[in-house]
Amino acid sequence: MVAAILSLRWRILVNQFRRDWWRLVFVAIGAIWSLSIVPALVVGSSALSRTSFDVKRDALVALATLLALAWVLVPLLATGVDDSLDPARFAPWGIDANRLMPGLTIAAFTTVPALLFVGVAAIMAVSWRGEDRQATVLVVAFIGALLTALTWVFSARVATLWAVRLLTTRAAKGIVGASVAIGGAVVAAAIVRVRAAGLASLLQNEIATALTQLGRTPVGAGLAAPASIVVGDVWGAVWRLVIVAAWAVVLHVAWRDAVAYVLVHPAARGAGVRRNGDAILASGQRKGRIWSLVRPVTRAVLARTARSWRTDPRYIAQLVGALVFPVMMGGLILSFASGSQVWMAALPVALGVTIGWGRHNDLAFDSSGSWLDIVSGVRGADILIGRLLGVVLWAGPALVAASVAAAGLAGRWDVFPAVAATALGTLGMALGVASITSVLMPYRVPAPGESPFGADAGSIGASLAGQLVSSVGTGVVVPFIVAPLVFAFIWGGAWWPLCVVWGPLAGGVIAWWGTSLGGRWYDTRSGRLLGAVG
Amino acid sequence: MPSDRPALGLHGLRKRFGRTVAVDGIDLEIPAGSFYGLLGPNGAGKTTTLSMATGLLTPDAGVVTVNGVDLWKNPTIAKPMLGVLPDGLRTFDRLTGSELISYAGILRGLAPEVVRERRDDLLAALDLAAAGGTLVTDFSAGMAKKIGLACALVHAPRVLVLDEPFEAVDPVSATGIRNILQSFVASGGTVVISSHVMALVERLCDRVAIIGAGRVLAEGTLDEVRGSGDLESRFVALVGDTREQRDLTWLQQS
Repeated sequence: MVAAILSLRWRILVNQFRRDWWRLVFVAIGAIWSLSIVPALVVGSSALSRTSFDVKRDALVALATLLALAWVLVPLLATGVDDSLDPARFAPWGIDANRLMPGLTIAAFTTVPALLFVGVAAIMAVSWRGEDRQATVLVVAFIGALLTALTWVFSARVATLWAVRLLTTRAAKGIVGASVAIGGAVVAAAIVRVRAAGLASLLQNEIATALTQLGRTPVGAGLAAPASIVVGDVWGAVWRLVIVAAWAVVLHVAWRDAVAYVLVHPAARGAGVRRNGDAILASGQRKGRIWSLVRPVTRAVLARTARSWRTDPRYIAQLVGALVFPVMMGGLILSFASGSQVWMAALPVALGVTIGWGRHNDLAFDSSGSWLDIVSGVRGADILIGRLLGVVLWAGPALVAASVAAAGLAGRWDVFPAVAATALGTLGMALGVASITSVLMPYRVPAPGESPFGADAGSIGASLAGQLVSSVGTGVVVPFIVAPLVFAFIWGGAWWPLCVVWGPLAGGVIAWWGTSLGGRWYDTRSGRLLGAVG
Repeated sequence: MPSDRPALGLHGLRKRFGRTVAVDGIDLEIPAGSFYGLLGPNGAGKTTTLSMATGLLTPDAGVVTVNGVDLWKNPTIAKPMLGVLPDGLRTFDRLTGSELISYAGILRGLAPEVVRERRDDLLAALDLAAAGGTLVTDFSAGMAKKIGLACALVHAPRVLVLDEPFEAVDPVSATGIRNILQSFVASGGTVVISSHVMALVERLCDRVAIIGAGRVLAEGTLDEVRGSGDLESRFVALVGDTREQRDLTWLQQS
């Protein structure tokens, strides 16, 4: 079975390259990038090898902790990067999970990230050269590093399978809320703690203590074990290696159980939900001046898009990624950055850009369901505006909330209106650009019912091209929206009220222009869209 | 009132995917008021042809007309005349059955009151009333087919293009669908179906075309195409032969 699964993975890769040769170029670029960071790692490892053993231990434990977090969070938050074999595909063949696991385990190490990070772990182990009892230290270092790398790869598999399982339950909305709340709480706690204690004091006391403790957990024990040999504590090294090995076994068992579950539970059914109302019809019957400005078709598209954002695991995973990842990363960076607190204002503005940019392939999420829109002869602009409004419905309040948090943490309530308006402007602008790229450069995403975290293996090259173009497009227009806010912070005065008007106005105009232009291209390309996204 | 212009005209349709020629110059004129069957083995190009005929796939060459209107040049005039049920495509599966029909109705520009009335009629006629509140993602294959048919019918089109409309549908529902389609044709509408079920095509269709390797192999009234034998014999004679079929002796139980 191991040979069969490995050969299956190989055949899939070869057939994809045969069908679209240009994918090889992107794989080559990925491989070259991976290799290009090796010299930097070797230099870092060499520098580390010349430091004292306790500094070395703390640095390696810190790095291992960050990588352990990254292996769990990146596949969940940056959806579409998980290119491992989806075990659900084996469901029709009636193969027991125990027979699949050896092959899936080895196959999990045949991806570029897995190979790269096993290499990273090995280079980290080499940092222990030059210590007393060098031979023993290095043997322990390699065993510890490789066991740690195993736990990274296994934890990514367990995390994505469990996330799929949770997102397809009725409790999905609660889980999303809890994730956002926990992410926000971590960021807020970090910012408050850093501001209260000061970065230098934290590094010297709390973080050093935390690293020592992490060196006694499966997260860092594998990298800390050689330090015990250096000080002659053989049992200290042994139990550290044992707990990492035990953790790897636990993760592997959890992975096996998750695989056994997906083999008999097809993903992404509707969890047996029944609904009494007709949200689509209700959208067509809405009264009021604002609704009268929106065409009935656009309202219907908005209603179905809003339903997707609330109930489709693929959308929910995107929503969590769009909110939690930038807030955590931005918040943590800002909390450690020294200088003026006005940089807090950058967070909601950047969030507006990343949420909008994240929709650069928005149409593809309709998958082949778009046929109904196309055969009905609906104007592309109506589809794009409806989908855009579906994002604004949750992203607008999220940006206002982020602006409130930023103004509060910076202690500058006076900047709130300008920051919120600019953030909404960047959202509109980025969504306008995304409306164009999602029509011009669509690429396949997981279809309804597939793992929301999976990368359609055939789309990696197309996704890179789409992301590059939308990044350039968004990057070119961002200064246009953000400039008044920057000037307001520098010169103050009339720039503040100008921001309040400028952000929504300019963002709105670009959003309108993007949906109009994208809509025209949608109309002329509709006969090709299904093939690109279906 | 049937017009003398073909309800659906396909002229010189061609489509190639890479090195594979899927449709190689198809010409068909489907008269208004006919019940038309499109037959062909798997991979013959039926779905590709119907996709090009309904605006879902851009042809490499050729013209599609709906009641004389060029579909690809004037989609805003031609598409409202078509009702389409594609095969194998997903749909917006987070809507309930009722909502999906309403969505199709609103896309077609119907007023909400009209949509509500027709939606309820269609749910009852297709035996889907109980499924109206269920998410489409939880539908069986047959229910999904029926809800797709309801979406194709909701705006009362002049021409129905249905790809495998009876696939996975139970016999009771199939009888209901047959009655709906036959009465639609009797009232002057045109139905084009693709199917592999010869008995069904013989029972329903007055004209048929047999497609193989992306070309029209035979076309005409049912009697013209099947000649003195039955349709299945004629079909097998045109598109393939079972004489050299390999014998799977290892599958025999004793």
